Amino acid sequence: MSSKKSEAFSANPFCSTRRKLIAGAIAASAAPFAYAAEPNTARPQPGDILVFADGEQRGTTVAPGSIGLTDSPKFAYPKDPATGIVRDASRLNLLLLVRVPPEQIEAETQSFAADGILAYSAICTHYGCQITLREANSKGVVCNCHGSTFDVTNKGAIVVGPATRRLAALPLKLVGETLVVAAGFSGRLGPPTE
Amino acid sequence: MKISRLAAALSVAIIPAITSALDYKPVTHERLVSPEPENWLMHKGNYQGWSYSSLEQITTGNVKKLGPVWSYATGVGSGHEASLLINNGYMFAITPYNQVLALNAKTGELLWRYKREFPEGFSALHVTNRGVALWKDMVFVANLDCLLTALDAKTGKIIWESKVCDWREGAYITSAPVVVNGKVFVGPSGGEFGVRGYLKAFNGEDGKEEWHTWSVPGPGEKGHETWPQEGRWKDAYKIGGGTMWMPGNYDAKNNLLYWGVGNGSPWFGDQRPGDNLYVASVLAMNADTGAIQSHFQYHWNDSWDWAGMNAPTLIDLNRDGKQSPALISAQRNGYLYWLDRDDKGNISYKNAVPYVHNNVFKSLDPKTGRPTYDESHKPVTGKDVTYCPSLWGGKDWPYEAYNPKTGMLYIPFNDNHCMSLKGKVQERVPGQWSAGIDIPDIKLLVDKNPKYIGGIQAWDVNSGKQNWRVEYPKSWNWGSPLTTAGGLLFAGGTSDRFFRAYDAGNGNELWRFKASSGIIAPPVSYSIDGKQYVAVMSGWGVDAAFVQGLMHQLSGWEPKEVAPGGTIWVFTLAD
Repeated sequence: MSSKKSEAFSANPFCSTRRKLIAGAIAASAAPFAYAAEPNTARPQPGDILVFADGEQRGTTVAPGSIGLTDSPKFAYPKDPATGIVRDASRLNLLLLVRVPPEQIEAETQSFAADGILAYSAICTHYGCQITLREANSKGVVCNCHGSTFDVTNKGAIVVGPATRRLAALPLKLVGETLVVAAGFSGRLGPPTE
Repeated sequence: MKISRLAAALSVAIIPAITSALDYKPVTHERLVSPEPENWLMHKGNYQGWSYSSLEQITTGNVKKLGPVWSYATGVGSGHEASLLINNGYMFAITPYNQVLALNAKTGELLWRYKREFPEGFSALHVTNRGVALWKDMVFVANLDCLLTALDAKTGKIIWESKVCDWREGAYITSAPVVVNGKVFVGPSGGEFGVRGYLKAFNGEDGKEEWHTWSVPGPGEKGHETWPQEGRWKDAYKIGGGTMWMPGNYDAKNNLLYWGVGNGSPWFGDQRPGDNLYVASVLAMNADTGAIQSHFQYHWNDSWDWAGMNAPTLIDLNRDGKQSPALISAQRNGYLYWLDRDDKGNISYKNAVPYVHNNVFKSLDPKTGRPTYDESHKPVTGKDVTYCPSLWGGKDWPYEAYNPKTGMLYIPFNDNHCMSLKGKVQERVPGQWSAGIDIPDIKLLVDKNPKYIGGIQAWDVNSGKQNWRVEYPKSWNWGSPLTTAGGLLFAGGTSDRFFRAYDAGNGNELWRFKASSGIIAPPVSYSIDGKQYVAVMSGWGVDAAFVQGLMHQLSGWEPKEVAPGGTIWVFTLAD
């Protein structure tokens, strides 16, 4: 967990170690968590670049050559190249990156890919676990909590498992040799919460 | 205008009646120690963990006339696993994702509803909940997002909220909290995410944390020597699991908690060589301080995900004409244990017998109960190993029930299922699964046409003999039974959605009702104005749904998917 992330979460009132509330102050309100629109929590923006979210390369820009055809999913966050701010303070910004042979990508998904590299939300639409696995046939990415499997070549469609909503893609493009976010997420993120 | 006047007239006429019917009766320690028969004040009905009602209006003779009087759709999917609590006309239900409903237990009218808001990007392995707890005029809710919340029982408004754990680490809470003498006890789940288990106590008045006891002892603490001290696995205790994810039981006379401890983490014991106290154990703890008085470990170096989270049931056994305090527990490892306990909380092994097929234990030491293993059935890193019963065990989390009138313990069991696992080393990343195996590699093994898997066994606690059993040829059993002084045993748990009543004496099925979904929540009983009710939530989900899908695939069992969706059902005798 980066320090930025910790700060963002401690700003969440429900994470204080102990709260005594005046009865009635909160229960009546249905207000969702009020996250300020900070640059590090904002959703990926067109023009953002990608940096690795973990491992030895954490924080470094993702080069297209670092995503291999048979690799397990790699994890990244969007970064605003103008300000240098990494948008890692929202768990919903965690991306998984995979590369598949471009000819295997279905027509409607082609526009999401950059040289065979696809970015999807890494947060499973079932219960919000991080999707960490890849099927041997390379099309499916698999959640390691309950096995929901999503087809990265078909707009994140559900292949199998308890999830009931497809995985949102984050369209990419290549600008020179740099992977760049081409548009916002293609659908809703994370699990339903009730 | 007419409508307003009519409404005013009605409210004058009706509200006083409702108000007087639903005065809230504060829950005291004395009431929890000696719960009155007409109410159901805690998840298993009493501190001893009996799931027993002393009401006897509904009997083996008249149960055929039982029918639903009201039902209420919760509007929530996934597995409903909570006991309904009843206090003087109030009914409290909790659904997956921690919605709390307060209803008029007689009429089914909704009094208030609490909806939980979850943080952005929230994640939990399971979203179920096993019940709220009551004290004074508060309802305590242990939430998935690791916060313990006190609600006003009359309004549903938040009174205080305290942090128990951190969901970003992979911890989450499904347990019902337990209240003793104004303290609220609860521990998180997360044994598949490298969470090191613990139980915490909070002051019921203001939510202040009072104590915190690790289930996996750290350096300098007794029991730490059973964890690797050096080498590659020297920090194994820090991610060792042993989460205390189910509610415990309580000996009120001696102020002692008896709490179960879950599986080891990662699942494969060769990644944490040693006995690994207090994984897969029961702990006796001082309720005031959390100090561990003694323990009994069901099996050492757990490698099967056979969590010992089910607290043993507190009973008195008849030994040579004398009543002797004891513990009895059908464990996930497939053995039924008889343990002795004393006023100081010393637990000692008495006897254990397999109640389902276990191919791992070669023998148990007759003095200590320590098993010897057939190592060829102990899962390890890097090799496929098969074992029985599978990780769901002879009995998973559903409660056993004890009826003091029949002297029998009722065990919802599953037999004839095995498992194949191949371990690997998974680095722990906070918030990510790290059980040492990927989900797609967990393989359930069953016969193509198993004779049965689920069922109920009734054991005479004094003679140690099985008195009767029922077997479900086409279903697992995921249901906690309720037993009553009317000589009945109520049980759901099957994929055919039936809620059944058996003769507790001989296992004959006397009544059944097909619910809107399968029943995996514990039934309860209460009475209002002299009329006895039996209530339960239906709402299939969680592991019951996952395994049902596997059974469809492996053995062609139907249905592939049991109808989901939660409903509260209330039954009584036809007039």
